[in-house]
Amino acid sequence: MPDDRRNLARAALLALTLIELAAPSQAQTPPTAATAANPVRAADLIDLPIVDESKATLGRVRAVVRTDDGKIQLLLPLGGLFGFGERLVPIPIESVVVTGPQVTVVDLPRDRFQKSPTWYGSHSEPLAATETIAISRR
Amino acid sequence: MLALTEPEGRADAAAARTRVAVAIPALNEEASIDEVVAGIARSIASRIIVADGGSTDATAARAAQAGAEVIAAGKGYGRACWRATQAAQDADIMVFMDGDGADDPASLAALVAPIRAGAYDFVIGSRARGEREPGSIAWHQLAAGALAGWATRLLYGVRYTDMCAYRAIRRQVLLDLGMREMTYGWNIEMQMRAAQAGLRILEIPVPYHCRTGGTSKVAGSLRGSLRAGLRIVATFYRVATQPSTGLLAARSQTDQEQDEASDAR
Repeated sequence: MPDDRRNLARAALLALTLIELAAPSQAQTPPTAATAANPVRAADLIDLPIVDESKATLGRVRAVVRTDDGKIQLLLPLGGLFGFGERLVPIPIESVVVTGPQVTVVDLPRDRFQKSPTWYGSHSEPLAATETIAISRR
Repeated sequence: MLALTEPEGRADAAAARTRVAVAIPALNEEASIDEVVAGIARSIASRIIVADGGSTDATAARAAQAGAEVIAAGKGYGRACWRATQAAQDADIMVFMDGDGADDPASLAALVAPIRAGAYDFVIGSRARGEREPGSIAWHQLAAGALAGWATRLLYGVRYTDMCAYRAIRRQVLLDLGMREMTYGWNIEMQMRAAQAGLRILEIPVPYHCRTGGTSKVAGSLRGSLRAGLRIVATFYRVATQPSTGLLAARSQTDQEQDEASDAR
């Protein structure tokens, strides 16, 4: 039937046009916070300042650990004086990006840290200093 | 016949390939830094890193002119040492020495040789056991070193006689010690963590001279002495009472638990 063929052709043309329109819109999506994962040695993260998205310093990276289920976490010391009375809070590596000489927490609100559970060392082990991990850079 | 040690020639070659980085934490040491850098034997040190803690004088420029790499380390003696260690990525051994001209560069070989030979992990100089130029060190510095050494022996069975900054350590081991003290307590923390981790430690006498310029940030004033002293005491107590987040500490703790479990069986 000629009409059916014409309708089919129109539908195919419409679909192709939609695909064409969709493709550039994907390319124009603004870059996300975490752009690309880069290898970083665990030792290079130690003592880097940890800041939130408003650039307020939360502390410095104390250690990089791997949990029993293979997740990488940065330990952030909170509170205390001269190292006494502080507690260590784990931050998932997926929630941070390296921005120059500091680490920025991108997915966690600042007040979340106060409520985060304290890290006591069980079910995780510090990474070897030369071990390389993937971390996003901005 | 099974050889239990490396053939001498091969061991010597391996030792010769060992790369040594000398780290010099410095803050306003323009009067002495160039002489210190120039005095370090390039046949031993493949890199000389001056970690500048924010000098307001010509320290950085003079160090660079003398042939050192200069890095901006931020505030704190320990932080300067840590930043230099991070920067020396190709080094096998880190040597720390002061930039005031008091440490004798001629002792570098003696500090490094036992580690190069594979016999030790950490070699520390002792000013208390070495020849001291009159006026080079205050009595309270010697007393503090002796007291810290006595307490370390009591806690870990390792006897130091000084908290001398002039020391050499395997870089890999240092990175895995879990160091966290970024100010004056860096030296005592390293000594205690090394003892806790069961490293092979050697103390050797080193000569000590009067500083060639500037003033000491620790012994040069009452305020400096009190501030450093307080920090060292706090660090000692913290390291003695709190576990380390370092890999070596975690492993030595696991080994200890396994030993205790097998003893119990």
